[in-house]
Amino acid sequence: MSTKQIQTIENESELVRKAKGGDQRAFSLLVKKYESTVYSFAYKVCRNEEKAAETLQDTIVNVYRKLDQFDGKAKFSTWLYQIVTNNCLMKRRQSKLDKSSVSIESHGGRQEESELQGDGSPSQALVSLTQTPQDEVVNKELREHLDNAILKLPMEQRIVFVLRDVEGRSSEEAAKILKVSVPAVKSRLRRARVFLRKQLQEYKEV
Amino acid sequence: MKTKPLSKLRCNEVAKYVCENLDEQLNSRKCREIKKHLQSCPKCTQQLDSLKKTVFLYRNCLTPSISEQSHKKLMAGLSLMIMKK
Repeated sequence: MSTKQIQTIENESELVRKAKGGDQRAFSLLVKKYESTVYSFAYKVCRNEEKAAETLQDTIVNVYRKLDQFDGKAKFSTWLYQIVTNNCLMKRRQSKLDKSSVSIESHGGRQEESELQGDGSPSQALVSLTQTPQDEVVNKELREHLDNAILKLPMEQRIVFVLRDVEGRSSEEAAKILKVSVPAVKSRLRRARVFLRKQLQEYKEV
Repeated sequence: MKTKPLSKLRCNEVAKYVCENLDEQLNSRKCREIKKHLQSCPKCTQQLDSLKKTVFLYRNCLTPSISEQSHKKLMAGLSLMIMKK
């Protein structure tokens, strides 16, 4: 860990300590520091700007009310992700808009095995994605398809996919955030990755 | 407990392992066997590549910034909350 990283953690711990003690300026600084992180995560999960903004608002209210309960055993960001994740799940329950989602139990299972049941010829894989990804512009149509595909995932898998693959959090941290085991995180992640790959493959074959 | 001979790894076992551990820094015996399998199996290598590309696209899909209106609303709500306390 670099000196800068240690200083950042110390500064953050100090901010949290002050905010817990009722320092409003410290709390505002914490909000400013994490506002984009929370909004961005909520957007990546909900794929909707309005929902992301509402989730951000709810999260900040929750943080303010529950800050006394933060014991500092985990990183502040991990605790924050727990709250925003719960709010994303709450929003999903409230809106019930993702009717196309299927239950987590019925979704995975033998999915990854069926991925390999083709003849293995190039046409079965993501042939049209073989160009260098760096050179590919995520155009509007592709973006819409990416949004639609991820919205079909059960929320539990979607959150794991965003935490691990988009945000770059470790499996251990994702497990702490979701309060599940590391193998459960890996299992959800596997299902999500396989499902999304298949969705993308279908899009590219159209 | 008997362990399965690693040299007889099947493609679906490789797929499961790769899908769970993509991006993880692993150096177990099984991991080394998987890498060996991938070197000699074009089908699994292709599956792995397509998986990497899928993840890449999601990772690099731009996220809009919070709107000025939402930011102001948040700050106004925050001030109100602090005042009430």
